[in-house]
Amino acid sequence: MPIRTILPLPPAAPRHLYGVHPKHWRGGAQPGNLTDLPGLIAQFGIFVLVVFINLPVIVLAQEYGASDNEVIKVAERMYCPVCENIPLDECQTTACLEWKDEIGAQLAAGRTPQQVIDSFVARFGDHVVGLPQDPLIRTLTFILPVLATLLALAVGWHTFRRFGKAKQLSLEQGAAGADLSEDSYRQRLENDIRALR
Amino acid sequence: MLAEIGLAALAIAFALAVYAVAASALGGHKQLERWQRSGRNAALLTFPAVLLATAMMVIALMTEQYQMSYVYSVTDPQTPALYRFTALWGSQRGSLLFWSLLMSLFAVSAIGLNWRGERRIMPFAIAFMMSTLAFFLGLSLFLENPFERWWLLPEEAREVSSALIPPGAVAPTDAALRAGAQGLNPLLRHFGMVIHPPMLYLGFVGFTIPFAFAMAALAAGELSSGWIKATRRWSLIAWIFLSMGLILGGRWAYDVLGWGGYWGWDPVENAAFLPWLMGTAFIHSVMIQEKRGMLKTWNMLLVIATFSAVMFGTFATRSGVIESVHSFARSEVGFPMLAFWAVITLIALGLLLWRWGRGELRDERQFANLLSRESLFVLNNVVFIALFIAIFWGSFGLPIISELVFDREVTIGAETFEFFVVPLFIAMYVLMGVAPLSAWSATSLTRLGAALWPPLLLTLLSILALALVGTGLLVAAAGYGVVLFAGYVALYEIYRGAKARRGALGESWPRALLALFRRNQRRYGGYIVHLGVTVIGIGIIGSTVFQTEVQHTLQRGGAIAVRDYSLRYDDFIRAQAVDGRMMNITAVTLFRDGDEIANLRPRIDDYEQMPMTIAGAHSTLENDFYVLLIGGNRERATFRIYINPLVNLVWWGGILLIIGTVVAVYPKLTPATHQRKREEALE
Repeated sequence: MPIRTILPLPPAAPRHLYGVHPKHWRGGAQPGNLTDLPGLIAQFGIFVLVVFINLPVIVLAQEYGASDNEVIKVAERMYCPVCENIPLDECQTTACLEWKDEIGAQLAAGRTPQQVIDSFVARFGDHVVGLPQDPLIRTLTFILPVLATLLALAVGWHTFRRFGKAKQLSLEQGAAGADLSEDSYRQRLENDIRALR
Repeated sequence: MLAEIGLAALAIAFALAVYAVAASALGGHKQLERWQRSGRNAALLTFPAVLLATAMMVIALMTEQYQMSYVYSVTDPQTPALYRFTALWGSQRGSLLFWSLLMSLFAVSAIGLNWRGERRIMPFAIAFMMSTLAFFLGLSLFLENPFERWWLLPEEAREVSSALIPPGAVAPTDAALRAGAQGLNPLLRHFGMVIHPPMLYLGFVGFTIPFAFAMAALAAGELSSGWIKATRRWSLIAWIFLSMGLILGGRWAYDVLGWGGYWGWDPVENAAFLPWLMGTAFIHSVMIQEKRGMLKTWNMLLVIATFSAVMFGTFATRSGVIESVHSFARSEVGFPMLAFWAVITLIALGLLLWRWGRGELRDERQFANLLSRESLFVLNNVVFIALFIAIFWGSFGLPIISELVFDREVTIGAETFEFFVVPLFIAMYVLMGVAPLSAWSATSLTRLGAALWPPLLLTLLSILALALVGTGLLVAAAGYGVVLFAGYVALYEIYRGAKARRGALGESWPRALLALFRRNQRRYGGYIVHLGVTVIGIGIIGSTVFQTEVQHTLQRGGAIAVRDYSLRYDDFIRAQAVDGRMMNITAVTLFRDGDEIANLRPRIDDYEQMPMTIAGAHSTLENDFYVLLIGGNRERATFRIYINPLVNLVWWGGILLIIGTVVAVYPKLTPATHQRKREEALE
């Protein structure tokens, strides 16, 4: 792996901090930048509001906690709601990291894994889980491959039976055909002998 | 100039392919020798024309001709030379051109090798091969032209990408283009991706040849097994490339996608797996037609289904109809591909029905009993078809119907696929074990049982041994048993053959084995393939059933114990690679039973906000210690750790499978006449 520079750079910011990579911060309120005071006050207000709304969850999370492994066990049963077909536990986008944090918070609040999954399905739809939740679509998921396999087996069985009957028939015909040809051969031989006499 | 030459060569190749279709079809239908030869010559000339177009594109990629919009979109000044070359198949337009090159290469080879031997059906075969080539060349020429260039329209103050110079347009400056060049998709900057796409394309394109020959046989009414004999090597060659493509794709996913696994039942993975399933059913089923003159209609259906699966898979992955990590190439080609797939499948089925209705596809023999080898091969086909239906339904059928009919997007996850495929794979392994021991035509239960008991005994002993060493899960031990049974049968068959030679000819073991393989390469090559599939099966069971997964945050200097390993977090550094990506690298030390065994560097590469998690792995035949960096800084970092037992057997099994297929497909080394006679007497 070719490396141009190896620098003892400052530690990377947490990947989901502010939602974007630090190099994309442009203007406005950046950490340590006090030039946009109204913006900072607004952000603080939003922060207080979010903390207040989530207080019960946060308190319970502190009390019980949810380990990374518990979060993975739930996340691996789900798919990223925005990037299709990528399991949530593997997805490293900012949105997915936040969703995993939310799973941790919900688990810590005492919800069961199924309740957590149900809440995501209610918000984002069936495609966040690996098995459709709608009863009709779920039934379709399972029924067609099973029916197709049974049908293939039935066709195979029918074919064997048909061949079996056809074989028996052809053997009978074959036997009859052998007799006829033998008779004809015998007749020709007798004619030849008679002619020689 | 490169773009102009490339465009002209592409246009000439397209015209040649269209002409070859018309001339060959006319010559074949009216039995006009001149037209047949003319069509053949046009088909042969497509290869140099497509080669020239591809050479122009490669030169443009290597010499950084950023005015060509394809070069601009897949490379940048920091791209290393190797990835500059492989960028040829790094995106839609280049990969379509590359596909056409491989298709013309296969077509030219098939014409060269089969023109004399299969003279009657060759004009029709050329017509089918060239119609497929013409379709792909047409896509390149009219919809996804790789030779488009950037132009500035000063009056409208905008830039356009066009193959022809728009009126009043001027070329942008080289400096501006170099500064804006986009570079290769980060996911494709891996050695696996250097080889994986060409292998898959070779597999896909390769199956066009048996399909074309089958269609030609239907069109010409040459419905003996001649077309199968002419194409069996082509089928195996296509199958080997497709197998290699799948294995390399799995390895790439394991190394690059950072989730500790190699197969996620992603729709695009499945799109490549579906033709493999059909192709595998076909290469087993054709043996029955060759040996017994049976299943003529069925083999036609299988070869049509294989080609149809290739075309559908190509459509699904390139049209963006199902989104996934692989679907990097959305474009306008979706509808034309769907139309081509539908039309070619309907023509093929129409031809088949026409000949079948005339009673020209009657089997020469009939099934004797349920235990005969041909019956078991038919059961094997039922298993492959059931696998095909289940995987197709979960990957494409249900998601598309659900969206169209119920307006609901659904995802079918790995656990749902496993519900269907695990029992079917068990059935496949059982049949893989029993079928080789059964005789053609008829076998009694007593005779089959007598042949089965040695491998069955070995299997039972193995299950017992696994239980004694603490495999733990009964289900896993039974799974190992089923897989091992198939492998033991293959080994037993090889042993029986070599032993018979030693007894009759007094040969040494190595000489007997060598002679055995030389005498019947296809059969014994097939047994090596079965051994490869056995080894893969052992690897899959080990790495899925016994996988350990842990996520933990460590302070610098802290350690975590996982089974008999422990991992210490040592350091965190940030670095920049020559291609511009920022890398967050952690240094960790791995210990086993207290002894230091490896220093690993799990890292996250950041390509302009597109993160890639690159695992650090310590690999042994016993297992992989696979660690991913989830996030962190110098003081603390979060790691996800996987211990994947026996995972490397998946790759080793893949290599064995490829070796076996090469043995089976390698041109036969004819022994001296007296030797052959002696061997024939022996048989």
